[in-house]
Amino acid sequence: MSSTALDTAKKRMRFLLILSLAALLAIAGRLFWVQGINASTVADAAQADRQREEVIAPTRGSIVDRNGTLLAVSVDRYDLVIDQRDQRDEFRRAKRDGTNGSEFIGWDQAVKELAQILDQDPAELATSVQPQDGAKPKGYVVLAKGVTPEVKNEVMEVGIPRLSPLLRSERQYPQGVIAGPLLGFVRNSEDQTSVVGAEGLELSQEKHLKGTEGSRKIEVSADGVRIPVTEVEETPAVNGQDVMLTIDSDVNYVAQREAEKKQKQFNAQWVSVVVQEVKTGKILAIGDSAQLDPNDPGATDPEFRRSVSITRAFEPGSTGKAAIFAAAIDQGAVTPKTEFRVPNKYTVTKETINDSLPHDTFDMTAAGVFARSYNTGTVMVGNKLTKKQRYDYMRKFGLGSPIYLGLNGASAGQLAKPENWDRRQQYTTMFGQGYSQTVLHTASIFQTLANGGERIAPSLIEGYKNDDGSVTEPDQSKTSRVVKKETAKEMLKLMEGVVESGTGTKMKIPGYRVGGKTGTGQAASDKGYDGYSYSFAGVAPLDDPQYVVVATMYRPQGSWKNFSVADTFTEVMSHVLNTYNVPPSSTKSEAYDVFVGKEQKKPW
Amino acid sequence: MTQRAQRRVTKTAAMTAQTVVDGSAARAVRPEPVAASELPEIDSRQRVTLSLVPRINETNKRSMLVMVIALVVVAFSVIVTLVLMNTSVAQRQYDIVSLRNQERVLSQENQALLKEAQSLSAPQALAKKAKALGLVAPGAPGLVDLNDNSITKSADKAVEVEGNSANYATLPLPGQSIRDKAKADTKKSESKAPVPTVGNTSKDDAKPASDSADSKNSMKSEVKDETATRKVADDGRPVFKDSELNGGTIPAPMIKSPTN
Repeated sequence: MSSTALDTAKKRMRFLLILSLAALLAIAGRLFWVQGINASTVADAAQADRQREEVIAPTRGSIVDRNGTLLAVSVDRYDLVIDQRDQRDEFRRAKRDGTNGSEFIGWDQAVKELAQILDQDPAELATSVQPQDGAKPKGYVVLAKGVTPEVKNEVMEVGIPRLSPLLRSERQYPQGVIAGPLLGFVRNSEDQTSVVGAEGLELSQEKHLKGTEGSRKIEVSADGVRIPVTEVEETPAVNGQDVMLTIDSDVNYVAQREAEKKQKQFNAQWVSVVVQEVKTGKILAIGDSAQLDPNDPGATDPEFRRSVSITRAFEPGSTGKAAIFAAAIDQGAVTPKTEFRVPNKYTVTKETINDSLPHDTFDMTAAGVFARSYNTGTVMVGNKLTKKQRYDYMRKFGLGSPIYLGLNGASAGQLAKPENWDRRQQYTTMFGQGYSQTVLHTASIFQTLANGGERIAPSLIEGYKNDDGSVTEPDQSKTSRVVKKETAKEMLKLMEGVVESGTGTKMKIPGYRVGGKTGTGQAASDKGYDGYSYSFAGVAPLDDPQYVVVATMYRPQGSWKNFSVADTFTEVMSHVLNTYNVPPSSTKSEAYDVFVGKEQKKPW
Repeated sequence: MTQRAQRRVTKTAAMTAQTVVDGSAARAVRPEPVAASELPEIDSRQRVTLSLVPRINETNKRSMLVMVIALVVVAFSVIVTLVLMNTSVAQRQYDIVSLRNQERVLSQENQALLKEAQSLSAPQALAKKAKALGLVAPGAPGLVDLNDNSITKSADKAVEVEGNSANYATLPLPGQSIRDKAKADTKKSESKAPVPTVGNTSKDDAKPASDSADSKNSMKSEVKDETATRKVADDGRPVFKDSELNGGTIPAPMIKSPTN
């Protein structure tokens, strides 16, 4: 080897050495940068790349009645979705007859089996399972929506590749039409994975029912499979609270059944029955004649998808006299025994007030006027108070403002200010015309009178049950004194007179002292007064009032002579008294005489 | 490198320069003192006697073997433990997943059964079953005064279903569609009232006839009636009834579904 060749080799070696040293240095530097200086950033980036966050959907709370009967509940359902891409002509699956081993089946067979399980037309189903006429295969085709877990399991047994079930929550109402308009219904959420309230309690209690979403962080490898040994960060979902109602589904059933029956009997526009607890103001039942099945709200007329008991204001008629008599007695303007000479026609400030049926002129007590529901006598009683006084009492009884139960669309009714009352209205408001209110308002007035003059705002929600079983109480119902205790006591005696010897003799319930007030109101339309409303608001038992039942029938058709809601009232009230084991009355009637003098049986 | 090689070359030169013969007499070969730093690496004359590495005695040999085996076992067991742990952790994950699935299946089953139970115990379903069994609604209960043991009111007899005021099973059962029921009712009422209100030109005449028809039905027929008989005047304007116009020239919009 010549010395020049040796030199060149040496030079090359030196160059290579420097080069590799430089490379080594670069790598070491980079290593130092990655591991030493920039370590956390890189680690975070890697973590972020591996990590997947899943949302854990909370379960929507149930709605239960006061006995814990489920009225609304969320259940698991599946959407079946198929990916049409990359499918072979045949696929392998475990044998379905329970024997071991597997078999190959073709698409025709698979579609046939699938159609049978899903109860769909095979030809139609085939079009969604496989791309048609050389169309581009789709990655996401929904085969069926909201199938039950059993159906889903059966479908999965067919073994079609790339057919996957997507879990979603569905709302169900196991009791069907019971309390339908109160519960309301739900709609699908924007992302179609869950439901949100659309109407009724489902809507108003949304924030309680909804719950809070949780999340789960997991790490996945490059092929998308979860890395088993990695840490899982999980924030559990908080399920929605169960809403407990004051409703008793049995009583509500009776109320609904009786309302529907009455509606059919007289072909009325609607019938409503409201049952309220006297001592607590809690609503026990709201029964409407129009049934709403929250599982299929579309089947019901839009008009009746909300409870008419809270949305429909009408002129109450004679049940409205209760507030006026209570006001007059409370102010000391009259006593139940104050005597009046009651004619059939009574003219005051050029306005003539008629009674519905012609009758002789009677010498009656104030209690008698109430029992026989004479408009003329009522105007005489009401006239002892100023317009303002009467208006104030009506307002205190809750008229003119909506009663919020947690149901939207609650009507306030119409109650004009006394300074705006016209010449006739100042008298008609005494006997329940010239202003409007809902059935619930009537119930609330009678609850007030039965509860010693203290009004407790009606409530529908008993409490909220948390996931851990504890119960959160709702806001306390507002209570307010409307009339004196003595006044309320007198009013009960007046009401007893109605059932004993007045217009409500058909409302008697064997064994119990019942009091109440009948009401026949003229119903107005744009053509004027062209219909009637019939109602009875009753309280029982009178020795210790427990329940108020208001039955109202709006615009019945046919012969008016038969119109009555008596059986509706007695049926519901006696059912309630029986259900809650209310002891029968043991005291004697305290009703006042209707007429002045000994003779009490006088023609109508 | 070259420099160092050079030096070694000089070193060797210095050593070879040391002559063994001094004139005629042989020199007593005595190594010249050399600086410790320049001590030649090998002295060919005075070699250290080579000897074998001291023999490892038997016990040492055995303990060494045990040691090696132990190390191997430890290493192996560490690996095995790690693998086992890994698989068991992985297995747990699978268990968790399968238990979760099991829980879901069970809760779904529970849901389905609960729903079925609730639907079967719904008041209207019970009423229907009671009716099918021939049960009738009770009459008013009898009352006994415990103070004087007197019967204050005797019980009313329960009446047969036909004559009973409480006609059960009128509400649709859970799961039964209102639509089906409405259809059935329509059929019933149609059969009862052979002259349907639909198609009657004068609505007022038809009113008394709709007595037996259910209100929904008659309402629907009225609506149909209106749309069917809406006439168009010569100027192309539809003809409205006075009641619709209510004194105006166009009818007020109808509120179909009240919203908030």
